[in-house]
Amino acid sequence: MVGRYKRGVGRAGKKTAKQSARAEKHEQQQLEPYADRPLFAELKQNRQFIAQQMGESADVIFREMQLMNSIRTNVLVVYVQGMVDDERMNEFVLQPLHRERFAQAAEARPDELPGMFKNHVLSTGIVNEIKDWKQFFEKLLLGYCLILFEGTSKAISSSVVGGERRGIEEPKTEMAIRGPREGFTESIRVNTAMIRRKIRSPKLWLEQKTIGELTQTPVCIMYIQGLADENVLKDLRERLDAIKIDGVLESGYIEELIEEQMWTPFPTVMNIERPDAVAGNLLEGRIAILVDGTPFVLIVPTIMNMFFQSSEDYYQRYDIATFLRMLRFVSFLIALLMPSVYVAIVSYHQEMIPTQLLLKLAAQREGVPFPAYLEAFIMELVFEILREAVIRMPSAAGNTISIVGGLVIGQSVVEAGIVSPAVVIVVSFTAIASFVSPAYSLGIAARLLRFLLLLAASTLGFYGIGLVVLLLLLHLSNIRSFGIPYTKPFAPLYFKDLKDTLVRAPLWLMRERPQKLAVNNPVREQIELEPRKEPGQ
Amino acid sequence: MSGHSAKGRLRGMAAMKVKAVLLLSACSILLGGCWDLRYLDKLGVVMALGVDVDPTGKQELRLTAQVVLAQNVAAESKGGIGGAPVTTFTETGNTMFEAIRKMSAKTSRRLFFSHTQMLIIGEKMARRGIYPLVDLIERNPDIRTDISVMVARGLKAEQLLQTTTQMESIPINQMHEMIEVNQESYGMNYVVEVNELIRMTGKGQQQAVLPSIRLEGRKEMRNKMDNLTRIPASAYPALSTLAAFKEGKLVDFLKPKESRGLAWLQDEVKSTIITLACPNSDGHLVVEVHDASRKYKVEREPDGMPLIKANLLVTGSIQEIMCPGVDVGNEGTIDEIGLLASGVVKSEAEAAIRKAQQSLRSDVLGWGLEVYLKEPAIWKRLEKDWERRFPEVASEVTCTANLIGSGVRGESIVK
Repeated sequence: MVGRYKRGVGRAGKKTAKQSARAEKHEQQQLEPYADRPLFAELKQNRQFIAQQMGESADVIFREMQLMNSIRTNVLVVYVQGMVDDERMNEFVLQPLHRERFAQAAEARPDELPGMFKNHVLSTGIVNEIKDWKQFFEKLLLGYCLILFEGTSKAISSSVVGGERRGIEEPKTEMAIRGPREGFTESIRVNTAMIRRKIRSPKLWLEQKTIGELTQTPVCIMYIQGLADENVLKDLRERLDAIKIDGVLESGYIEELIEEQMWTPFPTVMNIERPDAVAGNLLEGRIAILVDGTPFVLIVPTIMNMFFQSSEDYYQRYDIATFLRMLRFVSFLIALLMPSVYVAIVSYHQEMIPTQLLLKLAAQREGVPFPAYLEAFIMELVFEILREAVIRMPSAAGNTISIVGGLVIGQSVVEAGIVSPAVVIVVSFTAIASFVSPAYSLGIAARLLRFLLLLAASTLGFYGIGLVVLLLLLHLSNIRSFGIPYTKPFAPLYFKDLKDTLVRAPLWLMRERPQKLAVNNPVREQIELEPRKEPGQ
Repeated sequence: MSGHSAKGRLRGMAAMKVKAVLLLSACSILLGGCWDLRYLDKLGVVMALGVDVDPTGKQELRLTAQVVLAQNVAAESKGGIGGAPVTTFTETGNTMFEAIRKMSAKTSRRLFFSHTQMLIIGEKMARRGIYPLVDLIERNPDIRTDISVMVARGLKAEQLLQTTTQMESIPINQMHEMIEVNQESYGMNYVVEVNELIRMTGKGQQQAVLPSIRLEGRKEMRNKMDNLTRIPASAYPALSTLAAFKEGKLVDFLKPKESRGLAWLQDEVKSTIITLACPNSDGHLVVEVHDASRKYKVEREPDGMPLIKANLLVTGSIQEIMCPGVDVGNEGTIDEIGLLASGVVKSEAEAAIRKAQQSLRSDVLGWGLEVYLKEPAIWKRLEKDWERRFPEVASEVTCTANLIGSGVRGESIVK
C-alpha cells in the first residue's frame, strides 16, 4: 500500500518535470511582457497603457477625480463594470474620495498617499497596495476597484467584488427529502462560506491558488487540519501546482488533471453540489477542492463506496438508511446488468427461467424482426438519445420530447411489432434503476459499461457477462485515488469500515472515522453514546 | 546510436507481443462467440414427451412431443393467429433420440427440451419396460431429470397428449398440476420424478410405482377445440390409481384403497380425508388429515428374516359429521373416532402390503432399501434372492391418529 502510494507521488513528480519543459515553451509565446514592471508615475501614461492593454474595452471604466488636498492631486479610479458592486463602490470608495478633506495630506508626498488612503479613507474590508502590472490586472479582473495617484507608481486595490450572480438554490443534481435545501453556487467565496457555516472550527483550513494562465481561476483546497492526511495534501498541492493550462472553466478540468487513473470509466474524484455532504467528507478526513465558477466541489481521496452514500442517509433513521443503501447497490447492479442478463437468457440460457415466463417471452418475440441482442442494443441507444435530448432541450420543449419519447418509442414501436414489449420493460426499468444512484458520475460509468456487457452477453451469454464482470472487478481493485484503493473497504477488507457501506450503522456505533484517512485522529465520538436502556441509569 | 536502435527494436518487439496477445484474445472471444446461440423465436418448447409401442411393430417405439405454440398461448399478445396453444409431433424410432431427431422433418423450429415437464408412458409400452426410456433423460444435459413420469392407463400416451384441457390452456400443465393437487388433498397418487425412478434401481432393489392417468368422456372428442367450448368438456384427463412395476415392467394397477395405502407407507401423503361410519348411528363423518408421517423399524427375527415395523402417525381433525349423536365436546368421542380413523389407515396400509407381497410379488414398498440401510447384514444374505424372499417378509403396521379439533362448529345440525 505504502509503496504504491509513493509511486503515485513519484509519478506526479515526473509529470511536473515533463510539464515544466512544455510550460517554458508556452511562456515564451504567452506571457505578457509587462508582468513584473512597475506602474508608471504619471496618471495619463497609466491610463493610456491600461486602455491599450485591454484593447480599449468598453466595460473598463476610468473615473478621474481630484482630491481636495492643497495640491489637488489627480486620482484615477479603474474598475470593470458589472464585476463590482456599484452601491458599495459609491459608498465606500467614491464618496470617501470626494468627501475627505486632507489636512495632513496637503503636505504628503505623492508616494505616501496610497498608504494613507489605505489606512484612513477606504472603509472596505480588503485593501492592498499594488506595485506591478501583473497584480494590477489580476485584481482588476477579479472585480476589485483600483485607485491610482498622480506622481506615484503605487496604487491601491479595494475589494468591491459584486455584480449579478446566481443566488443560493436547491442543488439540482443531488436531491434530498430531508436535509438542508441549499446547494453551492458559482461564487467560490459564497461556497467556502457555506462550508464554514457547517464547520465552525479554526481547524478548517483553506489554501487558495490561482490556476489558469488566462482565466486566473481561484481554486481553494479546504480541509480540517489534523484530520486530513498530510501526505495526501502534499501530493494534492504538487499535482495542482503542476497544472499549467490556459483556462479552468469548471472543476471537471481540475478533476481530469489530478486523476491518477486516466483509463477508466469510473470517476476517481468525486464531485458534490451539497455543502452538507462536503462537510461530512471533510469530517472524515477528506479534502475538498473548490473552483470558482462552478457549484461542483471535488472531494479526494475518493472510493467507490462514496457514490452509494447520500447525505440523507445520515439524517434518516439507520434502518431505513440501510434499506436505501442496499436498494442503491441493487439498483446499480440492475442498471449495469439487466439488459445483458435479459439478452443472455433469451439467446443462450432459455432453460434458466420459469416455463411460464419463457412462454410469455417467446410469445412476445414472435414475429419480431431483430434478434434479441440487436433489439436490446437499439432500445438502449434510443433511450440514451432520448435522455441526452431531454437534458439539452430548451425546457419549453422538454414536454414534447417526453410525450414523443414515451408514446412513440414506448407504445407504437411495440404495437408495430418492431421490438418486443419485454425489451421495452427491461430498458425502461434499467433506466429507472440508473437514476437511483445519488451520484451522477458513477451512473454515467454504468451507462457506458452497459453496452460493453451487452456485447459480451450477445456473443458469450452468461459466460461473457461473467468474464466482463471479472475484468471489471480486476480493474476496480487496481484503481487508486490518492493512494487509497478504490474498492476499499471491501478489497482490501477493512472490517471496521463496513459500518458505512452496505449498511449504515447507527451513529452511536460509528465511533471511528474511516481507516487510512484520518490516521492521526481516528476517533469520531469520544464518549460512549449507546442508547440508555432505562431513564436515569 | 546502435544501442538506441536496439532498445527501439526491443520496445518494438514488446509492442508486437502486446498486439499479438490482444489479437489472440480478441480471436478467442469472437471466434468462440455465439457457439450456443439459440434464438428464442426459433425454438419449439417441448412440454411433454409420450412414448408408445410402435403399432406397426417395425420399430421399437413411437414418440410424441407436445410442443407449445407460443404465439397462441398468450392470447393477448399481438401477432397470434389464434388456435391451439400446443400441437404434437409423432415419430417412430428404435430409440428416443432417433425419433426426436427424425421429428425435425416435420418441425420448422428446433425442439427444445429444457422445459419438458412430463414423460407419459403408454400402458403397452409400460408393460414392455420403462427403464430404457429414461436413459436419454438422465444422460442428456439439456433435459431435466426432475420431470415427472406417468402411465397412460388404457390408452396411448399419444392420445393423452392430444387432449385439450379447459382449466389450463397447455394440457400438460393440467395433468402435471393434477397429481400435485391430488397428492396435497387426497393422497392417492404422488409425483414420481425421473431421478427418483433412477435412484430406485440402485441398492435395495425397490420396484417402481408410477401414477396413472386415463381419459374420461368421449375419447374421440379429445383433440378437438370444440372440446374446450363444452361444459363439461367432452373428454378430459383424470387421475387413476398407482401403477406397480416389477423389473421396470408394469404388472398391475392398484385399487384406490391399496393406492392410498401405498402412499401412507411411502410417506407421500401430505393431506387427505378419511371417511368413517358414525359410531352410534347411520351416516358418515370425515376426518381431515393435516399431517402424516411414517417410521420404519427393521427387526431381526429368529429365523434370520427381517421383521418390518411400520409406525404411522396421523394428525387430523373432524371436518364433517353427517349423522346425529356425535358429541364432539366429549373427549371420549374424539378418542373413539381417532381409533376408528387409525383403523382405516392401518387397513389401507395392510391392503397395500398384501397386494405387494401376494399378488404383485414385487417390492414396490422399498423394504429392501430399509433392510439394506438398517440391517445391512440381513440384506447381504438376502440381496441375491430378494425378489423371491420379499413375499415372505413379515410386517407389523401400527397407526396412531391424533385428532386435534372438530372444525368451527360443535354439535352437528343433523338430529
